[in-house]
Amino acid sequence: MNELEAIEQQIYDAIRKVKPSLQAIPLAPETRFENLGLESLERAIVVFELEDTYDLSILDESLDTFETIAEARDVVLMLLGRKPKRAEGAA
Amino acid sequence: MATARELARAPRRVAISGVGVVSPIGRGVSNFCRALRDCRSGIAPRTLFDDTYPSDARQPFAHLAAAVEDVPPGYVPVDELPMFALDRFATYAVIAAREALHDAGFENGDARRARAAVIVGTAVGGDNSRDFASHRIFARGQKPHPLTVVRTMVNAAASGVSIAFGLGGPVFNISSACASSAHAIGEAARMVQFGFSDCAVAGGAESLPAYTLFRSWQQMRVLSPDGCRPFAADRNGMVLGEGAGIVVLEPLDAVRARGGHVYAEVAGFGMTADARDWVIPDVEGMTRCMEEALADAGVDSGEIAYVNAHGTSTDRGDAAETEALEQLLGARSSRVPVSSTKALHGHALGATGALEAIATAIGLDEGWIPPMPSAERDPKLELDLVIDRPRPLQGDVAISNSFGFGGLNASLVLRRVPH
Amino acid sequence: MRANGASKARHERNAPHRVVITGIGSVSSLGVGARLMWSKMMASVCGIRPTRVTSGGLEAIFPAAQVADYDPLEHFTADELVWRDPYAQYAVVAAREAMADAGLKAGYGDPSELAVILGSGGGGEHAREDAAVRLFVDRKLRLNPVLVPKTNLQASVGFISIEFGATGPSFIVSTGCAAATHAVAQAFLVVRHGLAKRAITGGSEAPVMISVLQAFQAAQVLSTTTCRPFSRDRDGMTLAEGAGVVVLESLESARERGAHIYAELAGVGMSADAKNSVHPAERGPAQALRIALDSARIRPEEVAYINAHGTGTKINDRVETAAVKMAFGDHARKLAISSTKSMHGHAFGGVGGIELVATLLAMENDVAPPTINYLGEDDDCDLDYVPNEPQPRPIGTAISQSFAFGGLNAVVVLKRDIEL
Repeated sequence: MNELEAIEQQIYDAIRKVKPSLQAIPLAPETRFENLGLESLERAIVVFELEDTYDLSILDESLDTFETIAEARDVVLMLLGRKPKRAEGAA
Repeated sequence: MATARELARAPRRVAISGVGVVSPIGRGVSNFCRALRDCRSGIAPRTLFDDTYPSDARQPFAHLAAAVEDVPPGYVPVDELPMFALDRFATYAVIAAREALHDAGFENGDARRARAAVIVGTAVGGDNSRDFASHRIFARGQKPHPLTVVRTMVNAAASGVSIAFGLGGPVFNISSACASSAHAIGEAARMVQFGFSDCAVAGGAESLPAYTLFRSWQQMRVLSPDGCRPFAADRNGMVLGEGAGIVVLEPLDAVRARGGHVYAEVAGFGMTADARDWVIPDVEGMTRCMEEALADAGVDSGEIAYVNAHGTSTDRGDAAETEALEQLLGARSSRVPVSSTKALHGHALGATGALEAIATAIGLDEGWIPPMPSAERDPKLELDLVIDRPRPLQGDVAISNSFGFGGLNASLVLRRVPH
Repeated sequence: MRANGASKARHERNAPHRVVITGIGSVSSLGVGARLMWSKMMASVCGIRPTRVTSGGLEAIFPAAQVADYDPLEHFTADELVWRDPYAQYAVVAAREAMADAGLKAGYGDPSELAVILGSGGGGEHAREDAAVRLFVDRKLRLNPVLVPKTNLQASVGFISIEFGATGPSFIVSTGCAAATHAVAQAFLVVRHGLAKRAITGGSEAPVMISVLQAFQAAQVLSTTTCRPFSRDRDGMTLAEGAGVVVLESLESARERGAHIYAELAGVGMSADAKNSVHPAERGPAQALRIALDSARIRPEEVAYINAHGTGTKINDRVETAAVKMAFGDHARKLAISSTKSMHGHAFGGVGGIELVATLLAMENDVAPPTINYLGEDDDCDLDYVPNEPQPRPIGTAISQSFAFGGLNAVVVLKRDIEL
């Protein structure tokens, strides 16, 4: 699984944590959040789960306006790219 | 004391005979009113740390809030509570109740105190004490303070007021999120109306959430990073506040008989549930609530001279309330003066309904409408907003709305009583 | 402009209505279901057991009464459980039972005529503790927004109101240990004065966890053995979970639909000690009792059974006994007074509802449920507490009472053989 797919999987997991019934339906990068029937508060929890998993600030940067899973993935990827990388071999 | 016989007699008119306030724009009613008239906001940047006690890794959480500035930490409001440690929210309630009781002439030793009811609305309760206890238990592995239960319990404001002033009638707390204190005042008014009580001390008290809950609120995406602008074009969320508003309610005749001052009559009270959704505001539920309050007061919507809106400055909430006002007032809806004092004192959750009812009652009594700071108005919301300066209140009837998170709604109709 | 047709005329609402109970439901350590609970009470079953809880690396074993034989997925979908702290789950389950028992489906009648007024002391405490562990143990500064709705004290009311389409007066009453009884009293006033025709009322609580345990231990009110109300050697209260819910209805509404009537809620009394935040004084409870009897137009001698607050602390049971003597005089020795907390534990804001359900079943069956774990009399408690075994006796008039921390007292009076 490459990095993009790994992030997509985390997003699927976050969505299914908030709405377990979505285990039963296939999710894909093109999936639109509005088609999943997630209300604003449920979306806020998905954002929280992603922030938690990756230790990112999506909310503070007002980047939580994504409409598809692919857009959410791209936000995470971009923010991960901004994070200072650990030095190799650091304890 | 109400007996079965008394319960059966005709309902009585209910008056507000005393008021007391602790707020982010001033402690005491006259300071509160001066700030309202001056359109002075208590919303300011603030920082919370991950815990407010010594810690090795403090991380600041900067946010906007309307905080009470003139009650020092650890302040003990009355000598009658020597061993009693009150959380902030209960302290606010006791301070406000002391002012209200004094205002209504219910001094120490007054026989009416022994039978007075106390109904306080609080949604969150002793949150600072809760975080304090959780920190001890989980971060330190230490026992919490023996008074933890007493400090954190959501009815601490109600029982604190009862104990501080010897009020021995029915005493309890009501929780219905943002509608809590409006419900408390309405329920208390009912008890006086139907003769179950001859005097009720009612209102609301709340302190700003502590770190844990505040961060959760922030993560909900409903708090504004830059201000409370109800009905404005660029409104982007609410700003939390704190404080206490307490009123004394008595039968109108009893207040007149002793020559007491009447701020306003609690003429009607509406209480509804949306029964639809947690978060999405329901226009139908709001409209029905206001209609019920008007019908209860025996007042036509054409008589409303001022609407103290719930107006939390959220995108959907303000739009829904505007639509509800349009349904209620028809063509008049763009001509009836409206303001939301949350722009000044913030959204004090369980206390907000009481602060707003007091602002409305005093507005009726003294003949002025509290303004909101100017902001670019939303062209889709056609309301006559009162901006920057108070406007004369021309009429006898006002309505104060509280539409709570979770769909529980309350509206109070207040009426000016000629002196 | 909308017509103001949705609301009732003022005079119609203000004529007092008689209020009856037409449905009951409960969830407790004695099982899910009111009649199951009753059968266990008749067998003197103790729902209090050594209970182990863990949280944030801390562990405790102590006597508590957790809800028995309860599988959340039997009652809710996984999606629903994301939002429902156990305290809200128990309330919904008990409300469903009570409404079914009353023969009322969701959508019956005008929705604005159904009120939902429940009690709870702390609401979503499990959710709160999860967040505390996250912040103070895991040191994660980012908090889950789900905490806000899940700890919302009126979550139980919100869910029930949505499920049954109830748009009438709805809120939570909170007075700690007396919350459910205060809620029932408020619901009584709402129906009595025509503000609603029916009300779902009672309470729920789910407090069995480390943080709550430690807070109550610090207040030195918890037993380390079991709950022995009114008995010698009693040493405190025991934490419990559960919900008790009833359906209140105006007599007219009940008659109209031929509903089964358990009893009339004939009167309520509320008072405050106005003295001390933890320790009760007898004047306050005695006053609540007198007001309740007076509002029900009942003489003390008519009361056959009292379901006591009886938490099992030295002080409460002493003061409660004194209060009952003050209010009932010589008759105090003739009535039966028992604490079912000895069997279902102290479920705080829910226990008043559980006890109301038990009282109604006592009246239905003419049997007083026992105070179990009773070892014998002590100097301060010398009444007939129905020790250890249920006691058959005619119970046409009964009382359920709750006396909370902060001196907040609530009493309800029930009459079975009423003229319709």
